[in-house]
Amino acid sequence: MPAFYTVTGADFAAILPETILALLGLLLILLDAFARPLRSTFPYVALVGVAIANVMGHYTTGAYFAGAIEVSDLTKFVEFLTLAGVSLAILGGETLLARDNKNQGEFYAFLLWAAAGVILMVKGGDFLVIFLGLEIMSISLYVLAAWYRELPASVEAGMKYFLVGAFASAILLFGVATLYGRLGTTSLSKIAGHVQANPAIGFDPLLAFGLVMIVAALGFKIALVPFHGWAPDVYQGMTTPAVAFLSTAPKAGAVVVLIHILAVTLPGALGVPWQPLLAILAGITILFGNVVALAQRDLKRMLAYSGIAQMGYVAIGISTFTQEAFEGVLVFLAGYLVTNIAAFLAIGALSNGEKESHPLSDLAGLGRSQPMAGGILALSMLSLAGMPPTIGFIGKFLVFRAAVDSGFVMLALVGVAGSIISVGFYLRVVYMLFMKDATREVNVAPDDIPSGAAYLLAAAGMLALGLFPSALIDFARSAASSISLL
Amino acid sequence: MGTPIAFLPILVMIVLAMGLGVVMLLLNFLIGRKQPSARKLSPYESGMPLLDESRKRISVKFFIVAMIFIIFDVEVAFLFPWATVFREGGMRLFIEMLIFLAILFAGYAYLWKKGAFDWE
Repeated sequence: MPAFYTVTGADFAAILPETILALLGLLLILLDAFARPLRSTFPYVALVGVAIANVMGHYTTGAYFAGAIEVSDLTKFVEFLTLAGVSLAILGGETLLARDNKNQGEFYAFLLWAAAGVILMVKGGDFLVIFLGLEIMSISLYVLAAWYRELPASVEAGMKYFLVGAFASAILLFGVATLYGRLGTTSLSKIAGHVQANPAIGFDPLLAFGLVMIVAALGFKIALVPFHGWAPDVYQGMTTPAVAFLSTAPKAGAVVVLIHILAVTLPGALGVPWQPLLAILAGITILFGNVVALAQRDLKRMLAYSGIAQMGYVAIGISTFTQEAFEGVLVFLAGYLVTNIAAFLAIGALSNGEKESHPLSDLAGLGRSQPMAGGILALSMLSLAGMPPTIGFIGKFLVFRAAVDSGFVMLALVGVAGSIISVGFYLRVVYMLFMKDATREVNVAPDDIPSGAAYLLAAAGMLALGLFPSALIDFARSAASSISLL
Repeated sequence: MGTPIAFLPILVMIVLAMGLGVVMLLLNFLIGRKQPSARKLSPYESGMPLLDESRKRISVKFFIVAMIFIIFDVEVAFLFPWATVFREGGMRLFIEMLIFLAILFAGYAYLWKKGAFDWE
């Protein structure tokens, strides 16, 4: 490689979606400062920009910036998920925030910047680009966590998330530094070349240590069990539309980055039986998340533990480590994204507002008086529990089938057992919505066109993808095939 | 240069400096006379009597000033190296810096309009 790499227009074209999102965020904070009366139009400005970013992402494939940026079907899959997630959060979030006059342009700006970070992180072909994307994403999310800055719970959420997240970032950097110390490069393709050239590298303590650090740091971001402690408090204190985004797209991005890193480094780097270790992590995550969720009486805390358990199912797919499993993971992540966003938006609408807590008992009877939001919440609970004909079933089925096919029968059984436990708390929500009588007055958010559109899109995502999953599975298959397993 | 032996004087210097400090403190501790009084035990502030507590709350305004300072500080930190290679880079480098400055200026305009410069 030459000493200097000349950046060309094609390089910038490869990061056009992120650039558009970042500039759009800048535009929105300026609009909020200079054109405050136009506030009600900001979500539409953001949506138009997201649509443009989505279109612009389709045209390039390959390696850019001397291999620091890699665009593939996989990154396009995550890019599409992220942009879909941010669109749903903007559509449904506007009404919820407008109730408290908290719909400043900065909210959309931070959502867009977080989305740009997710996309950049996934495209990263170099650990430093991955870190940069992760930080752009995380810092935006720290601010969103403390969005209601006059509420102690929200400030607590922001502070906790910031401290834990900064710690995780430091651990990630430490792992990257260790790999760099051993291999002399931070480029993923060069590491892959090194591993391929030395197939019998065996157990290398430094590489193993660095990888464990990286897995732990990404485990923090996706809240796998020993690293999950922040999730319940952050979910509870963070404003609901922001949690809808936080709990989905960034986790999907971190999972894909984890798969990418493991696929590049694992075959040679770890002589230890890493698959059973990751499988144990997955099993503990599933059982812990589902059992603790049973005991929760606050909806957002319950969904936090449910999200922990859901990432356990993803970890099953990662530890199975076959093309088929990754395909399942991607379908699962897509289903989880649309389902979880729908659940949080409906929870936000069926509550006394973002300044109040979201107890389960508030839902009593609301399914009958609020059929739209209530129906969406019920549908999303069924999808999270993995009931056919929703998308949640398809994702879980593919992941479990891949695990069984590769001989991880025990792991698949743990996953099924966790799903059975989870039916207990998911169906309790449905029971509250439709079979209990209201116990106290709940001042629900008004139905309006944007949130109605978000509900319709989410319902379409959960049902249509569940009934006709072939298009999504094909997309996931071509995305998974761009992960080269050494 | 480059061989470990070339850095030996630095090692000697480190050992001497640390040793001297430790020895002086140790001697003071072992053979010095100890007659503590309230004035002696108070924090040393150039010989003046203490005015008030050293740990107190600072107005959040100062932190805003510190953050605004970083905007301009980063700007200058990038402008200096840019200026040294500007002649070779030509128009392309000039446009790159204009983009950078435009982004910073957007932040500046945002701050101004949001009232970050109003002290009261």
